[in-house]
Amino acid sequence: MRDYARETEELKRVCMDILKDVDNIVAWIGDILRPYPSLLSEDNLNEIVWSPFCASSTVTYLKKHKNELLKKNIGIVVKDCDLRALNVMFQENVFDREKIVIIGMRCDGVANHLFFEDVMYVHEIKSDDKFVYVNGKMVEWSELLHTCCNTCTYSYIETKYVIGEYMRKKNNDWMHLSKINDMDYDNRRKYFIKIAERCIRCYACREICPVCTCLECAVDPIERKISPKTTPHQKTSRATWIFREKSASENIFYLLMRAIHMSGRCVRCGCCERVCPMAIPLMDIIDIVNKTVIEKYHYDAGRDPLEKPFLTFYSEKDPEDDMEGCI
Amino acid sequence: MNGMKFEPKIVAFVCNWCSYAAADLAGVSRIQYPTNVVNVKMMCSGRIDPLMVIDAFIRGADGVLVSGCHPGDCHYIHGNYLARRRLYVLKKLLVGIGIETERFRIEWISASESQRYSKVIEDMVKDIKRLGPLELSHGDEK
Repeated sequence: MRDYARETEELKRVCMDILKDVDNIVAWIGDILRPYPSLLSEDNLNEIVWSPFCASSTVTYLKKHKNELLKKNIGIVVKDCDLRALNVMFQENVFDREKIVIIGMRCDGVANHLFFEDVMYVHEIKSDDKFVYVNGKMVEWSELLHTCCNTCTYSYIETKYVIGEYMRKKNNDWMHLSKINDMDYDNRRKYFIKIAERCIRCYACREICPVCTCLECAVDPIERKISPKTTPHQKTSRATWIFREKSASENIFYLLMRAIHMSGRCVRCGCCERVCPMAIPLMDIIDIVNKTVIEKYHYDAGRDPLEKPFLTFYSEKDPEDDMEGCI
Repeated sequence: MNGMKFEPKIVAFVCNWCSYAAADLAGVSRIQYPTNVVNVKMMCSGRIDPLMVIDAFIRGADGVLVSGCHPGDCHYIHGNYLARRRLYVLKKLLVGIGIETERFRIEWISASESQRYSKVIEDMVKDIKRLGPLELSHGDEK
């Protein structure tokens, strides 16, 4: 049985140890059922939280405040998918490997706090391979988890500092994509257009994603005005692909763009689908790309920080067949 | 519609050194092929951004053809290898959201294969006429 109170105490001890080399650590704080990532130092180390509700990625926080935080060494607490996002950042030279001290937390999945909304005060969280127990009230893992956690296969954190143990068996057979495979082309189009019409282009999915790092987003450029002083390079990177209108055609472009920019980089953390205010099943679309990259090209995003990113190298034997109509 | 038959609109992104030369040769040799295609010349197939293909579909194209030098013979050595990776991943994504495989074709046409270029266009027009217009956004194109 995993006891999260005990793991939090162990995490505090490891953090005190690391604070000899670093000034700050990025970790989760706040309410135990709704934690959020923030910066900790020696004075407020007691506020640290670790529970199966730590959903938001700490890598997003680090990426947002990269310029001031990475002047000196910094520590970061990561779950499995966050560690992969960190590896993607190392592969693409966004962060410097020497400056970051990683504390790995072995994760069985992160759950939706709404199941335990009536709980006023949490004094105990435990879990085993089938259930989560909050103050003794138990819920099955498979009911509680998001699709991405239910189909996660990343289970081997081996960093220098690592806490916790895996209890839940994980496997991924892409069954959640079978509903798209079963539809014919007309129905797929209708399903997709119905999703795209709902989107309000709030860009929450883009902001929360741990691997979205472009300084100028393709659909949100800094400046569209062209003057005689605009350089050719600026003109190509500030193209007006879509208008600000929230109609189906522009939203289709935005959703497909998010999916294609994730080829070989998506770590399947599920944050984008969790934060969408219109409940758009974004992982249904992005998983089409993920399944292709993992099964046909045998490439896993972020396994090894020294590997090359997926789209920057090629093989002479890259597959060229496309099984008619199947994804 | 007032009795007019459906004529598909096809956008072809062709690489300058091989496929554009093939299209040019087809023109000079007076090969007859359908006029539904608009060629967009890129210097290399590696320059083709998947967003350009998506843009073509949402602005009203019924079919898109991407063509470059044969793998191994790219004028810039690696361009078409990198494009091949990108474009086949894009193809799976488009199939997943309902754009049929016949609408987005990826071909490797060298500079002397003008007959092949015209045959590819003919086949595409025939297939897309059978499939009908792609109304991806209820016709609210700009």
